Amino acid sequence: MTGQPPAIPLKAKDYKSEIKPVWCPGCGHFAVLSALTKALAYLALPREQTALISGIGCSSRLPAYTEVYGFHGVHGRALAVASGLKAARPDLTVLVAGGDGDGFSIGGNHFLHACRRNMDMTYIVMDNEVYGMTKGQASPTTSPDWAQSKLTPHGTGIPSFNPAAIALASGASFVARGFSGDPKSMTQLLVEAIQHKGFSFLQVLSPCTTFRPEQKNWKKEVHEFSGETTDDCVAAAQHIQIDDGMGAGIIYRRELPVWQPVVDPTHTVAELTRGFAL
Amino acid sequence: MAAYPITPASEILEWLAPNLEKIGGSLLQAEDELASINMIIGGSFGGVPSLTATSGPGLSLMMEGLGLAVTSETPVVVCNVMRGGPSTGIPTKSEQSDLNIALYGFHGDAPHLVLAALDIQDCCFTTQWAVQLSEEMQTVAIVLSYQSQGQARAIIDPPAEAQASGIRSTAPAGTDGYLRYTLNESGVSPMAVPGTAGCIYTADGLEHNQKGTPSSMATDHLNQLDKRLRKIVHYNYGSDWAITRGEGENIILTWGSSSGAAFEAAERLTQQGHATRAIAIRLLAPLQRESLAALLANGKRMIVVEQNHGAQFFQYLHAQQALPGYARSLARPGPLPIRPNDIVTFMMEEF
Amino acid sequence: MNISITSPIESVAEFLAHAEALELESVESYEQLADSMEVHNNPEIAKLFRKLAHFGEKHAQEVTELAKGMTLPEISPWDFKWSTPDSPENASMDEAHYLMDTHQALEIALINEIQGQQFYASVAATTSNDEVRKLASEFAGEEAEHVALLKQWQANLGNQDALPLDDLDPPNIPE
Repeated sequence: MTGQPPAIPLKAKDYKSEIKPVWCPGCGHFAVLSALTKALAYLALPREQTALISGIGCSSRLPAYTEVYGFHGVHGRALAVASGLKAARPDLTVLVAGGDGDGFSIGGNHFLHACRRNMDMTYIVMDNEVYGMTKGQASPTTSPDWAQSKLTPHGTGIPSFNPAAIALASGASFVARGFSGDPKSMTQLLVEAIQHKGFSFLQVLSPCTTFRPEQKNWKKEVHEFSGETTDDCVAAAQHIQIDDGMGAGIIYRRELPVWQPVVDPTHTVAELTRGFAL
Repeated sequence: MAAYPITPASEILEWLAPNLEKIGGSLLQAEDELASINMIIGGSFGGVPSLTATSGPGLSLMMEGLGLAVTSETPVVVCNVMRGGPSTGIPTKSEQSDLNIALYGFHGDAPHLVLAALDIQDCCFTTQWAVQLSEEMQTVAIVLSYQSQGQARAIIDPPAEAQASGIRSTAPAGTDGYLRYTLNESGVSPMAVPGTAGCIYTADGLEHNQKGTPSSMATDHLNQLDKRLRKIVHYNYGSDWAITRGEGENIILTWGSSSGAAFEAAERLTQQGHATRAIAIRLLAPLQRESLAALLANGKRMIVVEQNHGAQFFQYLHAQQALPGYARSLARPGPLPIRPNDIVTFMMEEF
Repeated sequence: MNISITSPIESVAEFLAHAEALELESVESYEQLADSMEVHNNPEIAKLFRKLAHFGEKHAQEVTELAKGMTLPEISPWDFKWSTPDSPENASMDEAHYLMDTHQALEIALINEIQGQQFYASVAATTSNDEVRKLASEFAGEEAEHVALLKQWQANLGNQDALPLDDLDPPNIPE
């Protein structure tokens, strides 16, 4: 638990804004919003001390629906904005949200380096294996034979991206997978991810009811993660490869050095200026 | 501050990294320019004045982020140390050919500030002024510098201090009915810094209403476009937007790093009996058109000097209808600098 | 769909904490569904979901009345004792679709209310606390009334096929 609960404890509802989501009825993201607000209420995080940063996409609309400081930036750059914010304001709890296209395709480079930098923030990727906002194209996590997009009429033919494996290999210190159809567990994962000191990566399988209606079956396909939570990255890598990608739970958790710029002023500007004297 | 190494801007970064730390700042080495611009947007959103330095190719990568900063009204400053372009071009030599991207590189209507340092000493003044203006107006400022400034050492007098307030308007805790993008006369709306209770908002790169909620309504779009333009057009920039040296009916008009040659050419021409004034513009956008018209009054001959192939400055001024019909263009690309003698010779052809 | 509880509920306060969460979440979810139906231009179904939200609202008020003067325990979101991954009356929200008709909406509501009923019945069946049993049975009874009411609405609707909703610019054109 971080900090003392305020005088009147906030309820999950107090972390929701008045803005009506644009998400389709039946979208998995509603459950993520609900679980996130429950997690924030459970942690009793002061709303003004929390910031939720996102890029572009259906899931990236999340900040406006929450009652914390938000930044809805451009496609793929949420982690960069969040890293700058955390560097400038280490006192804030920084959360980042987005989708599989935003995080793994256009924002892929930032994903690698945010994992590697291991700043203290939580990255929630709502993965529905499709670009929803642009009306149904294949994303990096789409299976190679999904041929429902006009853009890739024969399927992508490219093996899909394994977010957990990449996060682990890039140095993330907390790697977990959740499922929007299991809000109870997802809330707990979110709490653990936010409490973890360092870069926490939480992939949430969140079905797209409109472009991937077959994902309704995820309810039957999602299962407990095949391996025990470990702090051994070799074991975690093995677990990830053995799992079919539908296993939910904390995969890897390890205390690693958290990066934050050193701020220890020793000089005044005038002193620096005097350094230029001839 | 966040940045990605690039020639010829790395010297700025390498000096700043150890020295910013000493005064409580920090420089974060980003994974690329897309990251560095968005990182400083994040830092500035957090209430800390933020800037980056780069060169042409890096500026190209930053343009989308700069549009975000304009729309979300997050103040940031980019110092662009120009080199020969386009593409990788001539990384180790100077050119004044990034004016167009600095002025026009945005998609959409994106009012912002463009400034240019006149010489090595002026880099301090102009950058400081840019930060002050950007903070006051919550907008983007692009400062154009040059390889010949960025990678040179010189003995200079202590630079002047820019005199704008540089104070960002912020919202106090518990502001009733706080609207981040409220419409008012100045166009500058108080920006709540995260940590301020009762003023929670979501900054947005999507067009938005006064509260910040995404909106595609015609009125919101028009109102917010007007707001973002109004705040930089109505600002009183004072007299630092340009420098004039000498007087006479012959005019040399220039900007940035060609200023030194222009000033010297004006002196030589005047000594030769052709009274000449040289005007160097520091604030390129928004162009102080009326003030410029006043400076250009009573001219008889005029040349517009710049170091690029496309006469970008000349065309810009024409597009703004800021030039008299008799103005002629002296535009030469890098990597060789424009010399005073080139300008004198060109002007003599006018007689 | 057969809901149970993970362990017996043995105090009135704990029961009311569960009931409060269940009913409030039910209200919130129906309201949210109604909102998203409005956003997606399906006003009929939006209206229906608003109506369904009132079921829970009434129930939540009852719970608040009963809980007056009591301190309800703070239960971690994942420690609620229903066996479902979400609170019982939320279970089928992901079956919603922007083109759904009244038949389909009622089907979702029916599943939710049945699950609510099953939860309360299961609490009543497993508790050793007489007062909890009494309250849970009452609540189960009220949920049963909702179930009956929904079934009646379904019957009234009969087989009359409402015109299937059509989207002239559908998101995916099946080929």
